[in-house]
Formats: sequence, structure tokens, C-alpha cells
Amino acid sequence: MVLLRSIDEITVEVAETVALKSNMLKHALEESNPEQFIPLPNITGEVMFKIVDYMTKQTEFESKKPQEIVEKSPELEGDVAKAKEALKAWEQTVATWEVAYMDVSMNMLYDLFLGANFMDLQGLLSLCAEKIASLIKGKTVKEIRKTFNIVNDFTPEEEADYVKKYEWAFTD
Amino acid sequence: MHGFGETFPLVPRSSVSLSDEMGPVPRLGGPRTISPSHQKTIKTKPRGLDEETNVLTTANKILISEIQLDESVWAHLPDDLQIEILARVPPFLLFRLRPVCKRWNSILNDSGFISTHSRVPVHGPCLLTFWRNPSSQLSILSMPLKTWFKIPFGFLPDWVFWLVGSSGGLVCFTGFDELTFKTLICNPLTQTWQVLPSMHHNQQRQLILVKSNSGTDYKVIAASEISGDSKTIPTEVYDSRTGTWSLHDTMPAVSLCSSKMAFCDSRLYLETLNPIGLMVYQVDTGRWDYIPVKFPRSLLDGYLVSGAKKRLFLVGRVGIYSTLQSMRVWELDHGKSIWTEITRMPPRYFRSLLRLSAERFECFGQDNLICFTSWNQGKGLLYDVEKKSWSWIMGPAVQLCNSQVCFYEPRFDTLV
Repeated sequence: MVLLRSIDEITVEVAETVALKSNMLKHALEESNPEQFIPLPNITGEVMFKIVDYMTKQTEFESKKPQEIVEKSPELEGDVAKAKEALKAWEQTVATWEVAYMDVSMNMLYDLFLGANFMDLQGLLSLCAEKIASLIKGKTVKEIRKTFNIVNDFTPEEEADYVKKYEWAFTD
Repeated sequence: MHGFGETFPLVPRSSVSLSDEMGPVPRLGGPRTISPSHQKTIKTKPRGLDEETNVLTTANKILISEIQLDESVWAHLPDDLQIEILARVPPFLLFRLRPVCKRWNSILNDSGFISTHSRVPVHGPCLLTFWRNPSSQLSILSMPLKTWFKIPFGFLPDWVFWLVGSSGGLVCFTGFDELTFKTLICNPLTQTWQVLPSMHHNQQRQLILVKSNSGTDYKVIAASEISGDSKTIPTEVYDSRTGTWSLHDTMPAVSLCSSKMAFCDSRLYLETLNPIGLMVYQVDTGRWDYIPVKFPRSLLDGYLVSGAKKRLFLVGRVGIYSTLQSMRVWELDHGKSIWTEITRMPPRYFRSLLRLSAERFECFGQDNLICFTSWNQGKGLLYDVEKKSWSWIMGPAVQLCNSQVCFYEPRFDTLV
């Protein structure tokens, strides 16, 4: 069992197999004393639980993943088809769970994103990045700058040039 | 403080309650101002602010429509995470992000970013349409975004006339430059292009573009001549790695029943009438083989369409009398060399697509999607083989009228 401690001093115990999903924890475990807890200095308790929830569920899904049968002979055709169906159903289950999991507030989304980055959890990082990318979709250039606090270092002429050059992409 | 077992969901026994009644829970991320109007929807609060213990319980039920990106949360997102987001923005929309700032513009040009972006799962099916008369137009429909994009076409030479097809983000065009038949490969998004060297037997021929699954190399296969001459010429293959055409086996003299070809699992398939069946060209060996396969009875048209994972489909109408016609899809059983019917177009779609039996339609496909376009009406119908569903393709009819169409995958990493 692995002990994790959030910045607000909340601790949670997770199985080692679950903890290893995070590359950051994997390295930390190799170096630290197994008796002690691993501090997560950037993550609050609430976010920590959400992330642990993700890692646990992923571990569970992995263990239930149906085996894919490689087609070897005509007699196995029925089995191959069944295996394909099972795999599809499993993928659907994972996808449905992920959609529900990602139904979170903006603040949680932000914290999850940073948390997944800190803990080096590629799957969760992707999920967060995709969700944020989909939210950028409707925004104008000005709105994007405002949202991410980006200073516009283009001159008005340069900016107009770009907009003109790619005006076909601005159709809406 | 300890003590959570392996059962989930977690019920914390710490002194901080994480349910709706929020005590002050500190959050991190650096200094950030939160405007008063947003406080109602915030579940956690920065350390040092007033302890507000009655945060509204409706905070948990944030409606999807209220989820908006705004600076109160995102203003301090680290740069490397900005890149992670950019990597997942659909290809077409990336162009809109270029004017944001110089840094973002240079990120979008960076080859490291481009290969990261291209590794993210494919954008989703897109259709590319092209026509020359009366004015040239190259349009791409992104089905996931439900948007048509008119791509500027001026970067290509005037002689470009026929759309051959698209593979892995590359598009192949042909045309006559003066009297010389030429072949051109381009990437419409990066606007890079290249004219291929002349073939050994350089004339208007059946071509197909195939990009390799790994890497950025591609091949163009030139099979029979368009003119349908009885003289047969050797099949030639252009390999982008060598930049040259190589000569291979000559297709045996057969009577081809249609000029449609399909490339599937490293094999090029053509239909033949005499003898009945399929001519198959194996790219790996460079040889032609014949597979005797009987066509379904009363088949009027025979479009060969390749699907994902080695599936090969035959699409066409059955029934000589127009009132009894139906559009069907068969799949080749490779082991038994027979066509097995997998679906029929529901009559209401059929009647809507082809109001008259003499109306022309085109059929093509990719990745288990089969597209039907009606020439006169500019309508497009899509059949998803895996989901077994039919749907109309939205968009102005004029984009599909009298234009050449193919499936397209927007990619930045395949430069020509």
C-alpha cells in the first residue's frame, strides 16, 4: 500500500498497482521509504481523491480488458468475432465512464489538468487537454488572449495579415 | 491521519469535509484574482480569503452550458500545458490560433509540435471536393466540426484538373500541361506540393495514391490506361523514398468492367468481366493475380470500396427494372471468394438519392464509411459499416454538385 498526502494534509492509501499508473509515483516509490507517505505539494485533497479515482478505475478497466484473438484458422472465426464484440463493448464502457468522470467544474478541470501533469498521468492529461481544446473552439482571437492572459505582440498590420492569409479558416 | 481502504468511492474521515458544505479548503496555483461574480460557482477558495462557509450547494450542479473558459481560472496556465491543449485542437482550427501571439504562431510551426499533433487520434472523417469549371474550388467538409472550409487553391498550377484521391493527408491530382500528362501530390493544409517525374509510359492512366501507415512515405500505383486500349502496359509504382517510378508486372489482357479500383491490405483490386472476377495487384511482389469471384446477379454498377482492416466492399444497384431496384453493399469473403450481402439502402434514402433510375451517382469509401453522392442533386449519403447507420451529409448542395469528391484526413506532418 502507498500513502499519499495532499497539501492540505489529507492522506489516502492506494494499492501499489494503482499508484504505479502515475510515472511520478513510480519514481518516487523507487527512491522513498515505503513506510512514509509521498507528499503531493501541488494538489489539494479533493483533487487528490479525484485523481486517485481515475487511477483506480483505470487499473480496474485494464484488468478486465478482453483478450483479442488473432485470426489463425477458419474454425476460430466465431471466437474472433465474439472477442471483437467484447472488446468493443469494453471500449464503450471505458468511454462512457470517462465522459461522466470529466463532467466537472472549470476549477476542478484546471486542477485536474495541472495535477495530471504533475503526477505524469498521460491518460488523464489527454482527457483534460481534449476537453479544454474543445472549449477553445468557439472563441475569437481576442477572447483566447484574455482567457489565457496572453499579451498580443503582433502589430495590427501583422495580425491583419495573418487573418487575411487564413481567412478561409475563420468561416463560421 | 490515515485509513482509507481500497474500496471506492472514498469517504474521507479527515477533518475537512469535501461534500457540499464547504469549509475553507485552500487551493494552489499561484496568485489569482477571483472576481466576486464568480464566487458562487467556485467550490474551493484561495487561502487567506474570507472564510465563506456557505458556498451554494448549486455549485455542484454546474450546467454544461455554463462551462466557459475564462481568465479567472486559466490566466496562469503554464506554457507547456498550453502546448498540450494546442496539440488537441482540430487541424483546421489551428489556423485561427496563429494570430494570438508570436509564441503560439511559432509553436504551430515547430516540427516537434507538428509530430505531437499528428500522433493525437485522427480528427474524424472529412470530405474533399474539387471542381474546375466554371471557377476552381477546393473545399473540405469536416464532419466532426460540421463545417465546410474553402481552401485557397491558387498555390497549385493551372493544368491541375482531375482529383485522383487522398491518403494520409496527401492529395493526388493529374492533368495535362500542354500535351504532357502530369501527376501532382500536395498537402492542402500546408500548401506544399510536388510534381512527380514522368512515368515510363507517360499517358493518362488509372492511378491510386497510397500513404504508408508508418512514416511519411507514399506510393502511387499506375495500372491500366484510361483510354481502354487493348494494348496493355506494365504497371508502374512511384515510391516517394526513391523519387522514381519502377516497372512491374503487366496486367493480363482482360476486359475490365469498370474503371473503379480499390486499394486494400497492400493489394489493388479491379473488377473484370472476362474472365469474371477480380484482378489483384500485390504491391509487395509486383505481380498480378486473378481471383475468380462471381458477381451478384443483376448487378448494374459495381463500385469497389476498401474498408478498414482488410475489408473489401462491392456497392451497386440490383434489378434491371427501375421500380424494383435496390442499392446493396456486399463484402468479400476472402477465404471463400464470394460476395456476401451486408446491407441494403433503405428505400426512402434510395428514392431520395436517385430520383430517376438513370441518375448518376458516385460511390467511394474509407475506414468503414461508404459515401454516395448524387451528381445532379448534390446530395451526399453516408453509410457507417460498423454502426450500420445511414445519414445525410449536411451542407450546401452546390459543394457536391458536379464535383470530384473523396475522403480526406487533415494532417500537418506529411509535407511534400
